Amino acid sequence: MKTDDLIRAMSADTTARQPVEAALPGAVLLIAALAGFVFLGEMGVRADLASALGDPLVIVKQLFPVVLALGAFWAVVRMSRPGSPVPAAALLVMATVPVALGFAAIYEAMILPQEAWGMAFVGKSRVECLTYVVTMSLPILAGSLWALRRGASLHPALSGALAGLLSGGTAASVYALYCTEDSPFFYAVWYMAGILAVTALGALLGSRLLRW
Amino acid sequence: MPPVGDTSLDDLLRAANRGDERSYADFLRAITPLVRGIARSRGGGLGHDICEDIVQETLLAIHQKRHTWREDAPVRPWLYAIVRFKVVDAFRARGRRVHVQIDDFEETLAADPDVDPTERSDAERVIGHLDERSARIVRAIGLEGSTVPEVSEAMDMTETAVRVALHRGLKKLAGLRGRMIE
Repeated sequence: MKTDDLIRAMSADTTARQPVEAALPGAVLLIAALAGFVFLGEMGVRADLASALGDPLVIVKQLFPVVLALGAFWAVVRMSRPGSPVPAAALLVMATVPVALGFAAIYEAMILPQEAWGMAFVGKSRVECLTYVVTMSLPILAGSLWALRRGASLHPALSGALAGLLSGGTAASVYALYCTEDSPFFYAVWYMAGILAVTALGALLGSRLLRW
Repeated sequence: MPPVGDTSLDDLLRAANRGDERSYADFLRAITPLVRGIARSRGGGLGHDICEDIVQETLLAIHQKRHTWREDAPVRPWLYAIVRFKVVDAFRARGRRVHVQIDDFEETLAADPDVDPTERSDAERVIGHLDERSARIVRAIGLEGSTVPEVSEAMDMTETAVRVALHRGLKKLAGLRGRMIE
């Protein structure tokens, strides 16, 4: 088949395709809502949620995964368009997370007696935390990768990692509504471990699924 | 090569993404010599037929991803990024490492084929792996120059069904090519 023939065939194919930003938010929100509904329906929202949210450490726990997810969303959408650089602002948004976690940990260190640090870090639910965060992330990651396949990332593994970060962050913010471990020594480590595991998985899957 | 300046390349793809077949064909014909120039200048010694296969692979990739261009941005940075990525990728799949810099696009002369060198083309072989109906549609429109209404008439399908089959066929073609290199 000559190139001219191919061009003729291609120009007859006017089927439009939805861009990534049209498909990704819907996929993530829908699957996250479903997963959250199942999880919170089964496990329940923590009973003291309203009063707990008066504690700045709980606010950090609740918000840092959301901020990570938003930054990752922004970056990954941009990366799905060849020739447009990842916005520095998106990286800046994500960079606020380690800073906020650092401040939260310093604050915790000042109010918590040193003998209690170990126990705060180990917590009572780290296995549960890792299991639920990762499990809830998986369908969200699948949906994100499905939506991103219509994009054209020049760095499939990196885009996959961002999809993982987006999914892990979303799942962790849902899990936080149930979880009562409010020490940053706990959540900066275990929430983050769950999110990063999903990020690594996303990189692995992305390097295969987001190639084009 | 039709006389196409910078702004009109943007206009062509804009119209194409809204469903204008003619603008789209003009767009593809306008960028082909550029892609060919890059492929040949990077793939010295590989032979023009292999370079032409790489040109076709790159055009198919552009086709599959044409909606990732943002209409408010100039088309060239987007186009160059895709061409660079796909040309490097296509050479890598054939066991060659090449570098394509953005500057190359300004320096490389657009190559016009005196005679299209596609004698034994990967495309032809890959089309054989499509389902029969898609293969027939791709051939009818590409090789025989039939229009969608003509094909729909001849094959007793609705125009929409023809377009869907063509779309799927080209998508499959783009996906298969990377994996079916001699």
